[in-house]
Amino acid sequence: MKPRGLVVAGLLAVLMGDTAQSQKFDILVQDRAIVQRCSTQGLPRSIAVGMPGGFSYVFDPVACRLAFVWFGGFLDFRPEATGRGGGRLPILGTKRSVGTAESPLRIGAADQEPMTIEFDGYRREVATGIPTFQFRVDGVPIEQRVLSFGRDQVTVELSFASVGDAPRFYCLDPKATTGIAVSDGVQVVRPGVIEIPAEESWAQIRLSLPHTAETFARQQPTTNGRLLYAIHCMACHTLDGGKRIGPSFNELWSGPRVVTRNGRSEEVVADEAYIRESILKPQAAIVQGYEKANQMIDITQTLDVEQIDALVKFLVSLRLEDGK
Amino acid sequence: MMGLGFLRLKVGLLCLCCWWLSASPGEWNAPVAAAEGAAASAGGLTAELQQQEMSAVASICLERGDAKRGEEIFQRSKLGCVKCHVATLEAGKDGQRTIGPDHSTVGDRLKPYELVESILYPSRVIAKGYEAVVILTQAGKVARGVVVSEHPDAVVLIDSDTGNRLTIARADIEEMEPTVSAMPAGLADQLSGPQEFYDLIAYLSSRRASDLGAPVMATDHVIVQEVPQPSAALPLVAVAQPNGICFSYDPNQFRLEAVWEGPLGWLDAAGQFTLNQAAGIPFHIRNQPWKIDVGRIRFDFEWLGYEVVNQQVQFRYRLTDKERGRHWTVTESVDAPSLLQQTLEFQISHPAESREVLTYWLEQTHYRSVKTNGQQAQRNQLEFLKPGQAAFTLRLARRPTGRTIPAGYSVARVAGPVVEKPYLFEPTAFSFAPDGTLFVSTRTGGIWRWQGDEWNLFADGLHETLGVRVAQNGRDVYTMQKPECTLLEDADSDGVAEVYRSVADSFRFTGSYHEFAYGPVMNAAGELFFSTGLAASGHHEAKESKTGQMSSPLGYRGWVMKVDATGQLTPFACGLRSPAGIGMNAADELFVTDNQGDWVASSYLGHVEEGDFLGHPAALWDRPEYGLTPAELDHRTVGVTVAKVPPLDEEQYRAQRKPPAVWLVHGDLTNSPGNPSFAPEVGFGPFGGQAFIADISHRAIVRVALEKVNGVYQGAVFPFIRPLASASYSTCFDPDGRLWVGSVGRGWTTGNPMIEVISYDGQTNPFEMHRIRLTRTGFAVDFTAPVDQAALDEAAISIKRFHYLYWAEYGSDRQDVRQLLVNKPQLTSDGLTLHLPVAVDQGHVYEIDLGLLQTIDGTPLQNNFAFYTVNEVRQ
Repeated sequence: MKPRGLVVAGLLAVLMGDTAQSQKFDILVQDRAIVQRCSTQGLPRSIAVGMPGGFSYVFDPVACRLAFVWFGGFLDFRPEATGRGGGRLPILGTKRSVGTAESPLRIGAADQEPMTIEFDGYRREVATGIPTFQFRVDGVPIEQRVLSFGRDQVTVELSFASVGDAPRFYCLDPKATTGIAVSDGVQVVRPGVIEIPAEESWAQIRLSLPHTAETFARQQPTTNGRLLYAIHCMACHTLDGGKRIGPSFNELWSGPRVVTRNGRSEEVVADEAYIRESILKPQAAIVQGYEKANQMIDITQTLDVEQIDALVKFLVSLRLEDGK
Repeated sequence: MMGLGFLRLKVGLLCLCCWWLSASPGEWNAPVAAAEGAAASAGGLTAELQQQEMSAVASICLERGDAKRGEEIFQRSKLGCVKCHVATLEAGKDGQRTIGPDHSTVGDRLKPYELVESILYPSRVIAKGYEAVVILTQAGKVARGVVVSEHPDAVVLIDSDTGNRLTIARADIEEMEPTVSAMPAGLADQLSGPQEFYDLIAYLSSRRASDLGAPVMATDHVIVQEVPQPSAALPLVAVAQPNGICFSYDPNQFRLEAVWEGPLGWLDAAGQFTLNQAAGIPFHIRNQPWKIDVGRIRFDFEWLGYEVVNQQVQFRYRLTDKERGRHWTVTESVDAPSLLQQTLEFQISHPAESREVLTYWLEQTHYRSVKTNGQQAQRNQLEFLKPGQAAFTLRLARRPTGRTIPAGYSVARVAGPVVEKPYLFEPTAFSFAPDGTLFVSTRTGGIWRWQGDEWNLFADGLHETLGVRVAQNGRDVYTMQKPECTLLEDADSDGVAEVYRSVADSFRFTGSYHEFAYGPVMNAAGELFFSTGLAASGHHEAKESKTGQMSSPLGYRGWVMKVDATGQLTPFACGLRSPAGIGMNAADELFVTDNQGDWVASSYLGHVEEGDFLGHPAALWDRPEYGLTPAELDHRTVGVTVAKVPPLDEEQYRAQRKPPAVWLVHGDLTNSPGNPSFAPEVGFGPFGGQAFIADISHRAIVRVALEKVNGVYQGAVFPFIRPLASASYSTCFDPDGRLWVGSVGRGWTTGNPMIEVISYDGQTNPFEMHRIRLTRTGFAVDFTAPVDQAALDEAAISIKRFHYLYWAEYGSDRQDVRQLLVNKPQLTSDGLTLHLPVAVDQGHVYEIDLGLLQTIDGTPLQNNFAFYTVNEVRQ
C-alpha cells in the first residue's frame, strides 16, 4: 500500500499567525523541519522536532515513542549556548500528552510488552528536513513519522518494512485524546488500542487532543531600547554631550539643528519622525559639521521593526528625562 | 511543500575579501577572516588600500609620508582619532579614560604594517585590553566597556562611558555580548587621498618613546612616582628599582598591576611624566584580592599608605571582615630581581584568636610556576594561607613574554563558517577523509564539512558533539553525541547527511551537563572506541565526607567503550574522570587524556588496554562482580537508578590502578588538556610519532615523546607552542602533516572559537629536545641539533623529583620535591645526546630543566624544560 494524503503542516503557519516571536537563543523553525537532540525536562535523551508552522514534538529514543507534543515556538537553546552548556532546553509552548507514557507498540498481542526495543536512528527528507524514525520492536523494523494537520491534531504514521506475520498494536491512554481516527485497514479495537493487521504495511493514526484555549505567546524580541542603544549606537553617539564619531544625543534636544539635505541646509526639530528617518536613512539629512564624518551604518539590517520602534522610543524618552 | 529550502542553503558564505596569512607563502592558502572587508564602502580609499599588501602600503607610507602633516591629520577633529586615542596622562588630566589605546608610543608597539592593518581592518586585531563587551544585567542595567579581567564569579570592566571600573557578578549577568571594535571601519575614506593616509601612518610610526622626554631610570636607589589615574581616587604607585625592573601598584585595588624592564617613564621639559605603560606585563591578581574562606565573607579594604624602607616600597592596608568587623593589617612588598621572577611578601597581623583561612586570588596559569609558603589551591586561581599565618610569600616565575614556537613552525588562522544563531562554531574535533575533505564537530551539535575552501553544514541538531571520525568508506562520518555514538550517512554523496544512524547508545546518560562523551576513534579493523565522563552527581558512597566529587549514576560512565565491527558495544576499560581527549597512534594503540580532580592528581595522558582501571573508582561499580550493571544496557535498564551501592575496597583498587603513561603536570604545562594527536612520520618536522595535545587554560600545545620501558609506556612532556590565540582544545593532523587546532569559546575558560593551523616549513631544523630516554644510569636527552659543549658548562642544569598523591582530594600537590645531584652531564661527541647521570626511582616525575643550553651558533633552547614520568626503571 502506498502512503495516502500526506500534506506537510504548512497550514498551521496560517492558523498560528506570527505569535511565536524570536528571542536571541530560540531555535527558529522556518521553512524546514528542525531536529534537535537535547535534554528536556524529565527526558535526558530527547530528540525534539520542530515542524514549520508551530507544531513540535519530542521523540524518546529509549522507548521509541512519541513522548509529547506542543504548539507554539520550538526550543530555547540558551542552556546549551551559554555557560558550560549541557542544560535542559525549555520548550516554547505547553507540553501536551499523547497518552504514551511507555512504548506504545506491541507485536502479536496488545497486552504483551515488548521484550526488546532497539533504536536505529532517523533519516531526514532532503527537501523538508522531516525525520522518519527507525526502530525495531521485538525485532520487527518500524518507521515512524509524526505530523500535524491542525491545532490539537497529531498524526502518527507507521510503516513496516514488509508484510508481517503477526498483528501489531499501537496502545495509548485513551484519556489523553478526544478522538482517534485511523487509515483504511487499521482499526481501533477497544479504547486506546489500535490494531494494524499483519497484511498492512502502513498505518496512519490521527489523535485529537483536548482543545485548549491557551495560546502560546513568546516574549517579544529584545526590545530593551537602552540595550539596543548600547549595542548599536553608543560607540559613536554619547548621551552626555561627549564628542565621538557622530553627534551626541544630548544635542538632539538643545533646539533646532541645522542639517544638510540634498546638498542644502535646512533647520529641523529632532522629533520622532526625524529620529526615525535618521535610523532608516542615515544619509538623508546630515547634521552640520558631520558631513565628512564616518558614514553611519545601516542598522536596519540587524534590527526588526519592533526593535527600531523600541530604539526610537528610547531616544525620544531621553528628551522627557531631560525635562526639555 | 511551500518554499522549502535545502540544507545547503545554510552553508556559510566565505568572505569575499580574503587574503593569505602565512609564514610560508605560496604553500598554505587558508582563507582568513576579513569581516571588515565588507564594511568598507566600495570604491573608497579603504577598499583601494585593502587590495594591496599591508607591508607594501607600509613601505610607501614610510617613504612618502610626512609625519608633521600626519600629526595635523591625526588631530583633525572630524576624523575623531583624538577622541579615543590620547596619551594616557593627557586623558587623566581632564578626567576621561581613553577609549582606545594610548597612541603616544604606538610606533614602538606596532610595526608600520600593523598600523596600516589596524586602520583598514580595525576589528581584526583589537589591542589587548580594548576588547569591548556589552553586558545586560538581570536588573536591566546595561554596561558597555572593556573587560580587564574575568573571574569564575565576576567580570571586571572599564565602563566606556564613565571610565569607572565596574565589577559585575556573573550571577547578575543576563547577557554578555562582544561588540566589534569601537574604532570605526572605513576611516581612510574620510581622508582626501592616499597621501593623507601615508602621512598619518608616518606620524603614528614616529610616535616613539624618545619623543616623550628624558627616560626616568633608577640608578642607586628606588624611584617612586605617583601617577594620577582617571576616575580613581588614588594615584597609581610606580616604582623603579636600581636593577632596571619597574612595577606599578594600584592602591585603589590593593594589588600589583604590572612589571616591566626599562625606563619607569619619561619626563619632558615641561615636567610632564609619561608612564611606560605599554611595557607592563600584568600580575594577574584579582582586584581586592583577599577573601576569607574561599570567598564566603568579603572584606572592606582600607588603604593605609606606603613607605620606602631599606630601598623597598612597603604597601600597607587594612582588611575588615564585613560580618564581624575584625581587622587584619597587611604590609605588602615586592622583590623583582628580574622580569621573569618576582616575590611578593605579605606580613599580616591577625585579630586575636582568629582561625580563619585567608585566601589570595592569583591566576596561576599565567606563570611558569608559583611557589608559596601558604597552601596552593589546585583550582588554578587561589592561594590559601594557613590559619593564623603571619608571613605569606608568593614566588612567581614567569614564562618569557611573546610566543614560544620552535623555528620552522608557524601558526595561521582558518576562517570558520558563518553559523546561524543560536548555534555556534566551536570546533570540538576534526577528521580528514582520504581526499582531504575535513569534517569538524561543534559543541552546539553541528558537523561542518570543509572542501575546496568552502564550508557546508553536513549534519545538524546533534546533542553536544565532542568527536568526529570519517568512516572507512571516506564518505560517512561517525560522531559522538552526549547520549549516542552516531553514524551520519551521506548515501547520495551530496555533502549532506540524510541518515543519522544510531551506532551505540547503551550507556547511561542522565542529563548531567558533565556527562560528556568523546570520540570515537577507529582502528584499522574498524573497531570504534569512545569515552564517557563521570557525572557531577550520582552515587557518592566512596567520597565519605568530601563534597564536590565526580561520581557515576552507574551504567558505564568513566569508561572507554568499544564498538566492534558487528556493532556490538562492550565495556573496554574504566577509571576515567573527565576524559576530554581520546586518540590512537599509528600502531592502533589507544590513549586518553583525563582532567585533574578527585583521584586524578594532575591531568595525564594514559595508555588504555582492555580491562584497565585508570584510577577513578566511581566506574568500578559497573564491573560485573558487583552485579549492578548489566553487561549491555537495554531500553529497560539504560535509565535504571541503583539506590544503594556496596563499599569499594580501596586497597584492591589501589593495587589494580594503571598509572598514567605521562603526567601532563598540572599548572606548569596543562590544566585542561584535549585529545592527543600523533604526528605523522613525514610533514611535521622531526617529531613524527610523537603526541601533541592542546590545553584550554594554557592556550598552548604540549608535546609528548613516549617510550616503552619493561613493556610499559612512559616518557616526557615538553612545552611546544604557547600561547595560541584562544582556548585551544581539539587537535588533528591533516594529510599533509599540518596540525589543526580548534578553540572553544565557552565553558571553563572563555575564548573565541576559532581554528588555528600549525605548519612546518619542511626545511628549518628547530633546536629542541627531541625526546628523553631513561637509561640505566639516568636520563639521555636527544636533541634535534648539536648542543654547544661550552654552553653546557654554563647551562645550570637542574633535575627535580616529586610524586603525586592518589587520593579522593581534588588534585595533588607535588610531594617530597627534591633537587637531585646531576653527576657530570656528558654530551656525546656529535653534540646530539646529553647524558644526565642521576638516581631514578619508580613512581616519580622528574622535572628536567636544561637552563641556558644553546647550539654552537648560539641559538638558545627556548623550550628548555620537560617532565619525565617514571613508571618503570631500566634494570
